[in-house]
Amino acid sequence: MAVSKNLEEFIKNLVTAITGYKLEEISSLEERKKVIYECVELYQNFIIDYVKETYGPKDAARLKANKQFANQNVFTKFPDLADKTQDAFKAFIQTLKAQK
Amino acid sequence: MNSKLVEKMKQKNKMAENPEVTQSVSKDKPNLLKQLGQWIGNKVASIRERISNIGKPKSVEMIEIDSLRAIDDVERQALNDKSTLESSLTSLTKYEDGVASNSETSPVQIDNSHETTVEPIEDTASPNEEAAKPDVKAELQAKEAENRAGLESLRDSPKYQASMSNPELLRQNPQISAWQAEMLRELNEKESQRQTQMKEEKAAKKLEAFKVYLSDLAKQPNSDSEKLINGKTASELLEIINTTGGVESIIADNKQQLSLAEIEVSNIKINLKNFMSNTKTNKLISEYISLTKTLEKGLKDYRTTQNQKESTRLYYVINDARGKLQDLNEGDKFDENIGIYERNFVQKLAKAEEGLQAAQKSQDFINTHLSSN
Repeated sequence: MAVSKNLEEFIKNLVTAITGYKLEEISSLEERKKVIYECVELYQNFIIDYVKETYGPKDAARLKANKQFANQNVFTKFPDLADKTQDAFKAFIQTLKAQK
Repeated sequence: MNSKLVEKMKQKNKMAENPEVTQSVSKDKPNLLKQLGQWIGNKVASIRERISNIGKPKSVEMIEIDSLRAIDDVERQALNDKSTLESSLTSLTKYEDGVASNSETSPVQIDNSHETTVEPIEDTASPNEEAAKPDVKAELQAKEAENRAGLESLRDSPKYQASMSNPELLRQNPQISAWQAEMLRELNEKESQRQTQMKEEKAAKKLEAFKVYLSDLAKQPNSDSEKLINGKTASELLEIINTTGGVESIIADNKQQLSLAEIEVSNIKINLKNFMSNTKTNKLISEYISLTKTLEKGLKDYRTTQNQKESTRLYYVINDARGKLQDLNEGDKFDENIGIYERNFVQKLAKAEEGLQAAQKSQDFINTHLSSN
C-alpha cells in the first residue's frame, strides 16, 4: 500500500526528531526499517498513553482502533478526538524538546 | 559555531511552545509528563546508541541540530495538517509491503505520485456509501478496541481469575458479550497450547533423564540379564529409543502386553468356571484338590511334628488321603478330567498370571521413570 507524500515526509522527520539521524545516514536498509518502526511505535504509544491518562480510556481505545485498523476517518467520526490528539502531540513535542 | 546554532534553536523552540498546552499539561499532569519523559528518554537513548554503532559517524552537535530541525518540521506538519496527524497514528504494518520494496535511499518513500493514498484501493463504494461505511466501520473498530481495553482490565480482576477455572460459567454470564466469549475461547486455547508445550518440554527432559539412567544401567555387569520393560534389557530399550526417537513405541507395546495378559487371565478364569460348573467334574476335581491339599499339609506337618500322638494321627490322615486319591485315580474318566484341569487351567493360568505380573511390573517401571505427571 502506498504512503502519502505528507505522511512519508512526516515519518522521515519523526525519525530524525527522535534519533538525530537522517534516514539516509543509516546505511543498512533492514536497520533503517527497524528504526522507522521503533520510532513510529514510540510516538504512537506516547500519544495513546497520554490521551488515556488525560482524557480517559475510551478516547485511547478509539485511537488504538485507528492504529490497528488504519481507519482514516476517526477524526470525522469523533471530532473532539482531533483536538485531544493534537494536545497529546504537543505534549510529545514538548517532551522531545525537554530531552535536549 | 554549531554550539551557537543549537542554543539558538533551543531558544526558538522554547518560545514556540504553546502556552496553553504547557499550562494545562505541566500544571495538571506533571507526573504523567515526567513519567512519559523518562520512558521516552530511555527509549531514545537506546535507539540512538544502536544507530551510532551502525550509522555514519556524526558529531553530537550535528545530531542535536538535525533533531531540533526535524522537531520543528514534524510539529509544523502535524499541526497544519490534521489528516497527516490522523494517518500518522495508523499502523505501519499496513504499508509493510511498500516499505519493504522501497529503494535503498529512502525506505518510506513509496509513491510520490499520490498525495493521500492511504485509503484501501479496493474500496469502490459510491460517495454516499463511502461516507456512511467508514462511520460504521470506525464505530465497530472503536467498540472492539474498547472491548479489548475492557477485557484487559477484566483479565486482571480476581473475579475473572476465579472464573478462569470454570469458563463455561463465564460464557453463560449474560453480561459477557459474544466477543468476550470468543476472546476467552482464544485465551483458553492459548493457555491450553502453553500447557501442552510445557508438558512436551517436561516429557523431553524426562526422556533425557531416562536415557541417562538406561545408559548407566547398561554399563552394569549383569545388565543383559535384567529385563526392564517387555522383557527388554537397558541396552535394548536404549536402542529402541534411539531408533524411534522416543519411548512411545515402548509404552504402547507394554500397554498392549498388559491388555493381552489381562484378557488371557480373565478368559482362563471364565473357562475354568464353566469347566467346574459341571457337577460331576466339579465334585471330582474339588475332591482331588481337597485330598491333594490334605496330603501335602499332612506330609509337611508329619515331618515337623515332635508329638508322637500327633504324628500317629497325621500318619492315618495321609494314608487316608492317599487311599482316596488312588480310588479317584481308578474312577471313571478321572485321568481325563484331571488332565484337562491341569493342562488347560492350572498350568495356563499360572503362565498367564506370570505374564500379567511381568507386564504390570513393566508398567510400574514406566510410571516411575516416564510418567508425565
